[in-house]
Amino acid sequence: MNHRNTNGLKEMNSDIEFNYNDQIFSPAAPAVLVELRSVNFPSSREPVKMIALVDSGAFMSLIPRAVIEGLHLQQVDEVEVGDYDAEEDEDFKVLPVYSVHLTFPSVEPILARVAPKKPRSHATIGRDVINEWLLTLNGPELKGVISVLDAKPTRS
Amino acid sequence: MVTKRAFIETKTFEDAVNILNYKLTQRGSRPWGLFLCPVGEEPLKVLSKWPVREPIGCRFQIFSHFREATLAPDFFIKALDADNWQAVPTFEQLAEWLVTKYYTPTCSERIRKVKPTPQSAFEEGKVYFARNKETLTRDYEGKYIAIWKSDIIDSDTSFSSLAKRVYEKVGYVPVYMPFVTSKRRILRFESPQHQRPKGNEF
Repeated sequence: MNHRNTNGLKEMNSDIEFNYNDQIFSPAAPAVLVELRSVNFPSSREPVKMIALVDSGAFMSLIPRAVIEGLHLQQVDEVEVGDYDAEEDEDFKVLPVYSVHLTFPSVEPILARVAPKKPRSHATIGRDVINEWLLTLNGPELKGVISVLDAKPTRS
Repeated sequence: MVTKRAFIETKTFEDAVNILNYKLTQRGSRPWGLFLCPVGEEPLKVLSKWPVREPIGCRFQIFSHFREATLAPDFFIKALDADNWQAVPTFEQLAEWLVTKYYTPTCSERIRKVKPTPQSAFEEGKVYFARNKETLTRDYEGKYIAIWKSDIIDSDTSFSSLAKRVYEKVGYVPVYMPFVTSKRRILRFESPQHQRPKGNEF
């Protein structure tokens, strides 16, 4: 049942509750299990499943390069990227951007823009996706909640 | 494995090779044509078909072979009066040599442009965006746009919505869909890599 909270936001009933992951990340970090598919095969019964770090410090989402190649994803753009300590021009490099069919549990799948990353242990969900959610992080209990709103926030 | 007359697609030459279409002559038994076009730009030159009795002044061969599980081309060129074949490291250099040193158009009225392949359509979109960025920024600031063969075919503030419509229209091929902004977009991944605990393996 939808209702409005004190901030005037309409809430969906499809919240995703998740536990922080301490198997891959130390200290434990908010992460969710996602399914990755080629846009050509959105109903594939054999998606690539992997843990995705929910990282509000990342401008955009990242998935392992091997997954991009394995799913034969198509390129949609190029972006100039740098790590957290990048400052000079030589610290940045141009990366291709691909489109991927991205599924979170209990949420309607989306087509997301992703750039390649080397480590294969996990994907990264960046602000390009996170900013579509109401994200609640409970550090002491190592739990989080993702609420996907079906409308933009309303202000009285 | 070494073969001739292969239409080759490789990672290394993917942009150029996608639009390379050639036929090798069989000792003059049939005419042949070659179309050369740097990806995303106007054709450097287009060689039309010409009678084999009017040589272009050189010969070239393209061999394909497997190199680390990738089908890769090697280019060789030789002037008619030269004794030895010379290896050409890149497609671009082969094209430049062919056009600047050996090409003499015989039937200019037959010259026609190469139709862009899916990969070259992506590059074409990039070039179009770069050339028209000022206008596009004015019209589409803050939106994702889809550029297909130098046309803006759709736009949206949501990439997911845009991409779904675009792929339904043109199929799942490389389509240039940038985010339009007047600001220089340098994306920063802020979070440092975590420190791997000692003794653990991922």
